[in-house]
Amino acid sequence: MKALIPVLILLAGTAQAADRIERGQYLVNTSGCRDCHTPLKMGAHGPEPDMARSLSGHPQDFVITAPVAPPQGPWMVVTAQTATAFSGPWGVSFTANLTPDVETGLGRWSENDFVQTIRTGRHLGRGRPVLPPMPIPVYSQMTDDDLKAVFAYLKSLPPIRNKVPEPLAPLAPAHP
Amino acid sequence: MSGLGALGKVPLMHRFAATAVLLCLATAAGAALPERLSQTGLGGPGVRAFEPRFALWSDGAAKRRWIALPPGGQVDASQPDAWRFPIGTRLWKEFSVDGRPVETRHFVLGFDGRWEFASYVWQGDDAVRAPARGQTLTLPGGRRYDLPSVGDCVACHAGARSPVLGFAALQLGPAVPALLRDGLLKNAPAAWATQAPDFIASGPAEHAARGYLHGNCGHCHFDGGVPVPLRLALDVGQPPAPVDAAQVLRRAGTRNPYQQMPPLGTRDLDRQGLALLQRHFIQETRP
Repeated sequence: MKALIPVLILLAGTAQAADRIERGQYLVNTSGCRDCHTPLKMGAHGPEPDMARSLSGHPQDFVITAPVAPPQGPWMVVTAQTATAFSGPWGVSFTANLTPDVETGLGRWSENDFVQTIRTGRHLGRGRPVLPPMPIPVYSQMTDDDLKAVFAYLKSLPPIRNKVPEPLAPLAPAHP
Repeated sequence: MSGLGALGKVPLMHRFAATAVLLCLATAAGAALPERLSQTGLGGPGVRAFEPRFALWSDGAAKRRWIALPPGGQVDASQPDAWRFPIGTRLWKEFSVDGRPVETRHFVLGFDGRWEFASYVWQGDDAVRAPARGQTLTLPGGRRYDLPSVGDCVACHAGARSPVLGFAALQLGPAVPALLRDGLLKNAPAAWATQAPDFIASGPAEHAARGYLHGNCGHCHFDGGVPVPLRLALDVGQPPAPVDAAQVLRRAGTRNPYQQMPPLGTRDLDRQGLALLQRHFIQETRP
């Protein structure tokens, strides 16, 4: 019987990890992560998520070099065809590759890097600001457990190599 | 007689000592940092000025720094590149622009092992605690000046090998033997009693350039720091790690807010610092 204890502990730990990944999947699916981090492609019925590039962010081969001039009238934000790039008063933001690719995604990130990014609204918790339209004010209120679950799920995905470009600065200072 | 009145009969030095102990106890206990800089103990007994060799660029602001250890406290240097500080350690950094002090940052290590950060804005003869969310000042002449938020302080200090960036072996270098003699350090390598800690450099140009990167980038870019393959922190007695010089020069040479390095605390390029990097790296790549 004693010999079974380590096995039971291992099984319990594995079940706990699986539960966490499942919880993370639920949160990703219900929190709109794919709306921006999975590029759209044109399908038979209009734009649809390109699930072959699920959660891999703005496609590296869709090159955008400058913000668009603000449109006339009440409009503020222009969204690219893929819904992965956004031009606004902050410049152009590109959605990140959330798959665990080591070179281009979250492969090198620690759980703490991810939690601190969402918690502080700064890249890696200490770099440049995470830009609109990422709803940091919403997600930063998630519990640590939920954020860790999201990270565990993202780390369980197949890595997709896709180097998302750096954000582009605005045409003119947003704040004179 | 009130408690304060009773202090009037206590010799001046004893009052200073009592004040220092009370300040240490109050701040170390995790009490909120005081509203005025004059209440933090700066200028009191046990406060020691220091100056790092490789200063962080702060858009040309002149800086002065001080440290106060709690009575009997010593800095543990057993990890030469990650000193550990005793509970109750207090530090200050004053920023001046055009010869006038603008802000003084202050941080304290509490009993719970957590650092508390605050910034104080100078108003006349004293400085007043700034909002925790940060603040942008307009200085005489119209220049903008950003006071960091507490989150900004944490962003640079909390994730580093030691949260105290400037009071460290490589930053203090030639001043270290005197610290040992004065009893401020414990568990330090014996060699430091006579020989200042340093890193291995091929010459003055590399020493200056890699020291600059250590001071401006090393608090994030070290093994175990941000997860990018770039190591700019230096180690005592070791040569610097190889770097992608073009990338370093590109990120240090822009103030595009999304690409610049460091990512916060500066709006203006450090042209002297860049020239120093270019002198070393461009010379290094020549055949």
